[in-house]
Amino acid sequence: MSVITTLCTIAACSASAQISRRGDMIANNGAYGCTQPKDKEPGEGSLLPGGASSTIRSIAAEVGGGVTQRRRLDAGLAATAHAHASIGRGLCEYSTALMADAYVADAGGLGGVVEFVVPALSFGGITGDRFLGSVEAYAGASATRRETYDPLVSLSRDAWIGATTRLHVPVTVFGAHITFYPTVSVQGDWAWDETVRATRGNSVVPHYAFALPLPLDRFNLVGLGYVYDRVERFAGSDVLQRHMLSLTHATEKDAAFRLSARGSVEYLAGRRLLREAALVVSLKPRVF
Amino acid sequence: MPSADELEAVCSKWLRDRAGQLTLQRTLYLIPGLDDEGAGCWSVNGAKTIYDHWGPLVFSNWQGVSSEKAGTPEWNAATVRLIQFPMPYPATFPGTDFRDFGLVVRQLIAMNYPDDGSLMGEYDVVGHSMGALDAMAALLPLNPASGDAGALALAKACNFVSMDAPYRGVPNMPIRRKFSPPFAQGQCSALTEGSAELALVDAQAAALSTRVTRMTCYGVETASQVEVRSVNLYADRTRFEHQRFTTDYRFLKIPGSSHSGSLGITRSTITIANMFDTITRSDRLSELH
Repeated sequence: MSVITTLCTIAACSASAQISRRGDMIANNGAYGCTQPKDKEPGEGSLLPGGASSTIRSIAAEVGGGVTQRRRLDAGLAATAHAHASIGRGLCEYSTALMADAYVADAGGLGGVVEFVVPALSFGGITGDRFLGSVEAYAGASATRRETYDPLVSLSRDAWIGATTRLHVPVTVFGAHITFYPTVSVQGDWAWDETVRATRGNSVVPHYAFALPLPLDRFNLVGLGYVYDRVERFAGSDVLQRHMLSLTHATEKDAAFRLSARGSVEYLAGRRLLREAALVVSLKPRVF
Repeated sequence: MPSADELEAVCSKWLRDRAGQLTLQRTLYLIPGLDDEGAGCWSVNGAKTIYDHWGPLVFSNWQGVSSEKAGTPEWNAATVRLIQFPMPYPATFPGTDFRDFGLVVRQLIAMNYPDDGSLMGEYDVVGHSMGALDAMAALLPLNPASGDAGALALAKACNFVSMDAPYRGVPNMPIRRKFSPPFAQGQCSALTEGSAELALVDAQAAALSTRVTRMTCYGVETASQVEVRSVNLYADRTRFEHQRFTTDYRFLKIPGSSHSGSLGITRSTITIANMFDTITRSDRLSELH
């Protein structure tokens, strides 16, 4: 769903991304894994012209900057490339993603993240007549360079495996029956380097994410979104948490870019570590 | 797993790659919905709409005209006829509900396609929201016991395409109705779940299949100000098994679109590319997937 895609995009355009980059990744997986309706039955398949289920290759970018409570300014650029294909006449879909972002932190330091996801298999249609949601399983690897704002490591290489469930929740609001699409992701992170594992104190770090988009399409606002991101035992026994609220605007369905205002708060071991406000411009994907 | 944005990008490219290469096979009628008498869902100055941008870009024979010129040589020569309803309503037009609009649609189409007894679909009709009910009321006598049945009949349509049409009503219509002008109160009432007018639609749903060659229904996947849950006319596979087969029936949800407005279903390139492909192909689309 484009709302989540926009709200929880991969961009690490700010300092907060240096430690919670993976949360965006998880939420983003949820978006990518569940956007195409899975309640297909024969004759109700592909949204592409002619019913083709061809491979889709796309690239997208995002640029933005953020200000933290310490009045520092971070700027960043992110890009992602995706490939999608349908397997088994739409019963299962496969995708892979390569993402990269770079940022400049307050002291002029350069950081970045590279992530590769393969494979991600998406299954839909949990029930027959009533569609409850869909599930995507995925695995991947990432290399992260953290220049600042990380007490533990400056470089980590991780492998991870997880699953994202996107639920269809019908509710009635002032007489209107509206379906919401929250996503819940669970992931385990394993560090490639022994020294990092030793620093973390655990071989596998549990990682959870929850995203709730609220479309506000009537007013040409793409939507309001909330994301909760939680990494267990991030610094030994500490819990890293992030709450993010985002408001995204687009003037037209076919607009070349969208504008998002994001605010986030991060806590490490219950101590507030960072508050940040960021403005991000997301360029619509291009297919090739 | 492509995102809605990626699907939009794919379909935009599909449309651009076919610039000037497709040909309309039949005359195309575009019908707007409730509170859209000027057909803003199809045509808005400066916006990338079907009527103003994508149609002329893709089709080499896209020759559009609005119903203001109905009956003129320009109307007769056009390949695309945009139906608009005059505002304020003329004294002769009650505009009580979609059946009144359907009668206007019927008269406009019948100028060029009166019923000739042929079983061949002769034109394509696309309706947004209530516009699809207008089209249905134009093709069928929704209330055969009334004078409706005596009105001029239309030739059979080839493609009947509906976009987020409330075949069984709009759940939040009672609230929406409070914000609607007096002249639209009857229209809103008719679109309320359980209305007598929609009971007629349900009763005649199967009969529609005898008046069209192919039927395609599009719906939206996201929440919006008008949540239409009944866009899938032949959702009941048991009841409509025969109609689904004979009309090559397809139902598709368009992700990332709302019911109307600039982010609405008629502006989505996913909808547009799929619809353009539908009206230009003759093979059985429901078996391609």
